[in-house]
Amino acid sequence: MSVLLGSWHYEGRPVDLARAKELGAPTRRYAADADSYLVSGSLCFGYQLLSTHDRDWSSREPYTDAHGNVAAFAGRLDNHHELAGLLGLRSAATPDVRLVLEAYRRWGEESFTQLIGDWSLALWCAEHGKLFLARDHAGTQSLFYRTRSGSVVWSTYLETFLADGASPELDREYAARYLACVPTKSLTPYAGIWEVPPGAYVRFDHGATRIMGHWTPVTEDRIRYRTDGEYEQHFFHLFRQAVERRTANGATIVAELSGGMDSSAIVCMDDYAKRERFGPDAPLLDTLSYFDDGEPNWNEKPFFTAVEEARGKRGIHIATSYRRRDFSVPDRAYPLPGIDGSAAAWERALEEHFRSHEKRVVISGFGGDELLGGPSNPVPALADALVERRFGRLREGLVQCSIAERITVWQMLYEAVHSAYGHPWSKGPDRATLPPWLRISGSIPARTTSGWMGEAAGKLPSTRDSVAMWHSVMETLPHRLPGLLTRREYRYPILDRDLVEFLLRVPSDQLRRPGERRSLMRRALGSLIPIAVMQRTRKAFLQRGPIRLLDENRGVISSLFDSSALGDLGLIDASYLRKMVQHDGIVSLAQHRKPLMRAIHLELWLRARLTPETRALREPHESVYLEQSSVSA
Amino acid sequence: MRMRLIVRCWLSLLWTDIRLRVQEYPAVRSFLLRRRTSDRTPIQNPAMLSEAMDLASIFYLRRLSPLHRALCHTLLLRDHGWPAELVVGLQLLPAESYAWVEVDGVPVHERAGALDTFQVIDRCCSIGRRERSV
Repeated sequence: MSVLLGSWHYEGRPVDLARAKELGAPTRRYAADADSYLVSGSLCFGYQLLSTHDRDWSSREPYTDAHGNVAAFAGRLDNHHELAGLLGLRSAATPDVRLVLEAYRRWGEESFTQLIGDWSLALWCAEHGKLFLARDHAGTQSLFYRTRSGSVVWSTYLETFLADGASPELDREYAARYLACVPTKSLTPYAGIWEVPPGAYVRFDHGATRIMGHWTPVTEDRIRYRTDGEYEQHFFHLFRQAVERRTANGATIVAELSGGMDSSAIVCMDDYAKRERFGPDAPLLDTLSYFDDGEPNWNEKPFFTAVEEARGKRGIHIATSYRRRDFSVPDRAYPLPGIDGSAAAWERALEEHFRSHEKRVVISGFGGDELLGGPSNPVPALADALVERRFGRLREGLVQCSIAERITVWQMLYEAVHSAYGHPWSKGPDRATLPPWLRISGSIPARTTSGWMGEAAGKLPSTRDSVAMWHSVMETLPHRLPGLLTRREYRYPILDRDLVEFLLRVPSDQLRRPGERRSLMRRALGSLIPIAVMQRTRKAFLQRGPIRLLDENRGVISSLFDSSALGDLGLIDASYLRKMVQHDGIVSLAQHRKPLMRAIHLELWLRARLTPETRALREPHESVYLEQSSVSA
Repeated sequence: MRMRLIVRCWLSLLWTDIRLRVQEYPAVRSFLLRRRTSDRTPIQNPAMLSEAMDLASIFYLRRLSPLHRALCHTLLLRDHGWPAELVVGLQLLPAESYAWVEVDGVPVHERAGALDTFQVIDRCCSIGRRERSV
């Protein structure tokens, strides 16, 4: 993923090139193909290229037009043909960044809605003296910003903000949300540093900052076809398009193949498209599969090998285990919590695979469970019937869903009424499920009605459910959990905007049917996916490993909280937590597994950050990616 | 016929509920071991009985525990001539228990794969007309 960075002193203080390069130094290693800076008065735009597709136009970014507007664009614009046509330009000869600027000149702030693909951008409007930072609908590329002392600084990675020796304060709301396992939204662990929300742009007008949406998952339009076959054809076309957009020429790509429906469908669809286009000898995607023979509930090997046999190509297999984690403090500071000291060794081993196969991009099947009709939640559809007074459908649905879920119709009806007329999606933590050692009262607002959630208030329960589901997908995308040493570009075919807009609009009984999850996907792609995967009855999941890890490391965890940074901050009762870890049974550990892991990770992160000798973010880093090829300034 | 079967299932659920409330599992288990499979000709399709159980259970007074459902289902199948066994399984991590019904070693009315993670810890065999299980 290429890196955007820059700063704007809106009070007029000039920027010099040396300062601009200083800003770019910490992220140079992540995008080492080229870097370039544009400095003009109080404005500085930086761009560090990691070429990952054939429309990367390195020498032209940051791009300035004849009117003095400046833009830097990271990512991929999938509708460049259509956009160039609308703007009267030739797609093949026009870099994406120029299309972005031309679109802005034509449509103003509405132009961000027109951009389809995986992208993030920074854009300076010279005429109005405004700066815009924007991300695509799904937030597939990160982009952070900070406003302080009359200036705005932005960057793809948080390292930029930590490079000048500053040690920003911990954001208490972020910490509370992280510990309580509720969405952290656009917060970062650092007070005053924010992430541009997915599907939104931030407008800086001198001292005023405003966040505006350019895309929303909130929709009550429904696609209605006469036959199942029409839904299947439409889905097939969009799914193929989503995969082809992300596997086109220009970068060496590896696809994660877990053996589940989503990753298998992506790989098989790519094979199908390539063979149709280039013949039976077409070069196929390389795949990467993880397995753990010690985890009885995560036996993925038979399924990903079935896919490999069907496509006639063996992938990279990596043995992994949750129990490799050791809860040690990493030897360097890192921007986000979520790892421990064992991460570096694991990343180095993984990096060897990537380097030896010259891979730069990972294709992930993320989002399939939520968007394609995975585990069912029938309540919103019943609540819709209640709100719309379709009592025949409600009666029928109550009986069918109660049987499928094995609960009584009375309980199902209560859930539907609650979903229809209650406040079913308060994003505050559920106090009853919080572990007793958390001390976060008052740190998290009880209800959130801003952004998409606010937009969806008053809509049908199924619409609100879709929006909440979309939020949960955004929170858990793997690129949001960077490691200690490396940053990778992830592409998510299932989050393709055209596909997502289709899936949010089709009737829910197309996506899942009683006894058949992912119904539409199975019907549309059944001929491509091996039978072993199609007949798979349940998705594998890690259960035993995490609990055994906690059980076997009670002493280590307990000593970690002997002098707890989280305890000092008043976010946890460290002595209570220690007692629980030392004396509680395995059932209690399992019950609070997730918040306990979160507490451990945040404690490790704070320690790595607070220990002076481990503040390695400012020190020379080991080179973990490609050699630097060129530098332009 | 169908309605009569559903009502019978509902009453059977009530009866087994009371039994499970007043007796511990060992007592229920010994009762089940003593309960023979009926000698009458089995109903053609035990799925009919399962469907009736489904409908009775969704209109029951409260949500059924797996043991409650399996116990009632086992008794009804035996009453209708099928040598049903009540099986209790345990999953270690995370700890979870479950109970289901088997006829001739085949789970009855369970989703495929739903029992994969459970290890059988008890099996209440059917003694009666068709066969004697171990």
